[in-house]
Amino acid sequence: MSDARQREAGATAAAVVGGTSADGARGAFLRAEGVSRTYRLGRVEVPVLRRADLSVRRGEFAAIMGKSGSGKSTLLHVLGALDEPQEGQVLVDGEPVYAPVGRRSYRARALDVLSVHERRRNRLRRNTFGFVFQFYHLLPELTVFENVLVTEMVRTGVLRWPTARGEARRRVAAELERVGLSHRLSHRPNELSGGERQRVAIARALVHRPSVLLADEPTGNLDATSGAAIMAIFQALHAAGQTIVMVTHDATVAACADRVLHLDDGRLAAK
Amino acid sequence: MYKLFLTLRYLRKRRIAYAAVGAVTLCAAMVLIVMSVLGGFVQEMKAKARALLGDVILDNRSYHGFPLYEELIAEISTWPEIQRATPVLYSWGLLRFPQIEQTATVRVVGVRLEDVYEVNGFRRSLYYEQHYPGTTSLGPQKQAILGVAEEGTGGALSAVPRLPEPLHSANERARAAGVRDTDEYDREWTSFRKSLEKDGITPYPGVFALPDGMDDSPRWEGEEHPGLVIGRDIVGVRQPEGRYRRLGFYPRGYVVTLTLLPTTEAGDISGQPIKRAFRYADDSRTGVHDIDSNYVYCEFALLQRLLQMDEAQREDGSRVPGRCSQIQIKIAPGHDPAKAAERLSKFVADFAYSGRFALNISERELLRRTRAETWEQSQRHVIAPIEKERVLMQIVMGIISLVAVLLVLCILYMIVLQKTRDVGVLKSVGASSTGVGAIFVMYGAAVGAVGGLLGAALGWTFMVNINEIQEFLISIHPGMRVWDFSVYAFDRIPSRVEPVDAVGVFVASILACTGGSFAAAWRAARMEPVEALRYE
Repeated sequence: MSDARQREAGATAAAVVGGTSADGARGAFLRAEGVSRTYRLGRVEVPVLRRADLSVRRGEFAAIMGKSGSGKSTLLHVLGALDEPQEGQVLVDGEPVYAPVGRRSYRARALDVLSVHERRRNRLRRNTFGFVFQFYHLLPELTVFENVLVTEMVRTGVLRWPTARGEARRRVAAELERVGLSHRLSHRPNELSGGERQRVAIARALVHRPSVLLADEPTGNLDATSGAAIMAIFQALHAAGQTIVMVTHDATVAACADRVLHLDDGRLAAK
Repeated sequence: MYKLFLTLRYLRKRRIAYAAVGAVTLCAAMVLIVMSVLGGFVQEMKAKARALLGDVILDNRSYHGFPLYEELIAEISTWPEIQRATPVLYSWGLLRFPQIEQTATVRVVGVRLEDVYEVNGFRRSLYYEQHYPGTTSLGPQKQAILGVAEEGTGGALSAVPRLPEPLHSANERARAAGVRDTDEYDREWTSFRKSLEKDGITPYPGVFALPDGMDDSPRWEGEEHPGLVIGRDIVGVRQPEGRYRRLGFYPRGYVVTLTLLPTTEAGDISGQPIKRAFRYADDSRTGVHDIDSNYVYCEFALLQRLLQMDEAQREDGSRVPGRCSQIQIKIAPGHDPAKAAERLSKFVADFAYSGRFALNISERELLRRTRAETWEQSQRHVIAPIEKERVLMQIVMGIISLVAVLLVLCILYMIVLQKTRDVGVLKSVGASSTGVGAIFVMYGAAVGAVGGLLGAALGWTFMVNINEIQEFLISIHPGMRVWDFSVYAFDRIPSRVEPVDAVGVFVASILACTGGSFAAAWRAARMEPVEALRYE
């Protein structure tokens, strides 16, 4: 971790809640501006996010809380370039993630390599963000090592892989050692406990050194002991300067964060 | 890299993929077998036709032939594209084997043996000529007697079977050249040979007459008669298990009689039938059932004389030119038979009206109608329908193979549904939609490649052993014969696999399965990562 990043991590986290503040927005690494997302359930349109705004500085650990179905996960997906909002924009280091509103497709293109915006979203997911999901989402055919390695494969590309392979394997081994799974490298996900699976998911999310770790209920599916272990890892990461945005409904877990935001009626508010 | 990695991993770990691979394997094998059998049939037909006809034939399709063939041959033999040309006569006759009271209607072919050896592959079809090179003749000949000779020195003298010269030396030459006996006749005779071999005596191939009397030395006996080459299926009858049984003991050199109907210059049957004695000189084993069961071959000049088609003089002193049915031509290497045939056709038309020869209207008409055709053109009535049948079967097999493609499509679609969450995960770590789609396209291609490879190997193995498989089935029950030689012309199922066909089937399997994977790949690619992650 660089000194600059360490300093950033120590800096006061400024969040702009319920509207864009020029002061707060300045210097924010990840910013959501007036983000709206509506889902269609049959003929009924259900608004989930209503012009939500959020700014996260580098090194900040932000927790988003809310009731079940309040749109926490949707906000996290929108922030992480996984889900396109109908309105508003997300900016990463000042650069827009999504196409201008009129040019959004709201549907993945099969030949996304032909679209500049889709390519940018892919690049952000590949390099800038790391995701940890509540249900781990490990690939069952792959071993622990391979589940993490596949991220490096996606990132590296076929032409560079022969030369980058050794370094990638070393990085994967180091990351799994950091989460305490160096003894489980050749095991398959179904041979691991819930806590171990989540640690594999964390290793997978961190192996490429993402700028932002986005965690969706990382302890939601774990017992208290395993949940505590996972949060210990998060705190260590935060201490090392990792920017983290975490969604949770558990106040104890949220207490680990620098600040806690509450999502209510599609809008964010500071608790 | 992740595409290939996940493709191979899914192929190994998803057992449902084995069903797709199995379906592709069976379809690929089926298509290759059908292609090879029908393709081999066409190839065999072409090879046999070329071997029996030469490169180009001149024919007017008239039973009473055409005149001036010697003059024509003399003229065209000076052309650079003509290597050799020989006249051939075709007629019908009644062949009788007096010793066994067997009679058969036959197609009688008059050939000049030395010329025909040069023009086509007739020599390779002769059984005795293979084992006694240079001894098969259509000229006057006697009966060879397999006698006994004394071998060894002093007190170690022993009696061994011996054929008269030049048969004995000719057989020694053939043995030295590595010619192996391929006789398919007479089990009893084979067991007799085996007993000879047991005593350290190498038996002679074929069947020869044994001495009748006190003098048991090898020799030539009897009256001289012209030689006659007889088709294998006339001398013997093929048994259900594939071997031949002779129509009684009928050795080389025995007398047969041929009854012929001479024709007039105008093409009518003239006078009385003519009966002539011949000696059985050789078996013709072309492998084409229709030919081996109908054709006998005798000397061209003799047949021409017997049919009254030779040169003669009319009462008014004018010349009646000799006639032949066909001229078979060998084209010099490097020349195109089709072009040569075209030139020959033009030449014959001009030749008929050149005025250099005194021909009457009927003779001129016979000559004018003479056309040159390549061996392929002359056999198109046989080859074209089989080639069409081959294409038709390929289309039918292709349609059946669509089932495999649809199966691949269904299985891959199912796998995509099962792997929906994997798609979400891959997209969340930055895999592009195109990349995710490519995994399933590659997966389809891999199923096609593995299935195609196994199918080609299975089809190839089946084809190589197809005749043995049939023999095995026949050994269980004769009614299980699939390939009837009397229907399909050849006595063995063509078993050659063209490497290009195997490669074609392999490539087609990959393309078909890749095509079948597009729908699944499209669905995977179009999947929103969030929807995929939420998929239950």
